[in-house]
Amino acid sequence: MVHFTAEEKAAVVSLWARVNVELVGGEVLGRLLVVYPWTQRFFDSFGNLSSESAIMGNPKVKAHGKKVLTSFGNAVKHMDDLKDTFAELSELHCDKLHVDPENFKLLGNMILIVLATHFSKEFTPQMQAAWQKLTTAVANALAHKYH
Amino acid sequence: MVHFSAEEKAAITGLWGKVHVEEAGGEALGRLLVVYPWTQRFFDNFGNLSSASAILGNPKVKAHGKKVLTSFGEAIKNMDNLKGAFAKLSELHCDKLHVDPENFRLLGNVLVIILASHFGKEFTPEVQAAWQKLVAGVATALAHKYH
Repeated sequence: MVHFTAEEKAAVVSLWARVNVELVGGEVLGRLLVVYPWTQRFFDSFGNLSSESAIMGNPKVKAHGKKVLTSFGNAVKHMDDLKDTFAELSELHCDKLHVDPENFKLLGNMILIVLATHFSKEFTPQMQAAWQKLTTAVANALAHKYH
Repeated sequence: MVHFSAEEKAAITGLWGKVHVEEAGGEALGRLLVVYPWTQRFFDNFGNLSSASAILGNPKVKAHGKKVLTSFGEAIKNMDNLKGAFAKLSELHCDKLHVDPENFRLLGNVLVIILASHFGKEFTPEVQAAWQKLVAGVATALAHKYH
């Protein structure tokens, strides 16, 4: 089980408090679909994903991005218990959505990159290390129930 | 062989022209050593790497970071022939330095994050996509001569 130090938790929580979940969520999912275009296969019903501007402006992308990042906020509240926190979502992503767990790592990378663009110098190496640890752990928790 | 469109090349060179190689190089290597601490094993003779501030202030880290990023600049001049451009460095990293190629991907990720933190909104999804393609191409080229 992943263990976060008090400093790592403080770093994650303090940055999270300043994240506009709606805005950042849409951006994270949008960038995933632009940078890793094969991920668009999971979102057939989202309408126009034909260009970067179509994707980034797509209201379904923004809404779903907000949903995904809100769920990530749950991770921040349960950093000591990620596997249980994401158990049901893990089963959903395996049994119903059929998402390759590699994509969870890609989404984690996107979160880091978007945080870096928004927070700039404040996204220090220590901050990056704590967030990297969290996104990796969430990816593992989401993959945990796969069979 | 990886192929870059004219737009991708323009996105990459446009941003590269504004990168301060010495500063960004030091930061890239520093962040690698902080965020992925096992990479410190390749730099035993660099002196004090005992904390994030020690790493980020370490003159050998800065100097070597500059060297690595300068080499990356060569990639940008040879985007149509990355394997050729990095053949010798690939042999060096395999035969003499014994670096696991996975670390090239990690350094690429760190570089993308630094660009994101430095350039903010300018680091659009399209620019990010072009840069991710480049760092992946460089990582592959550096692994190409491994045996």
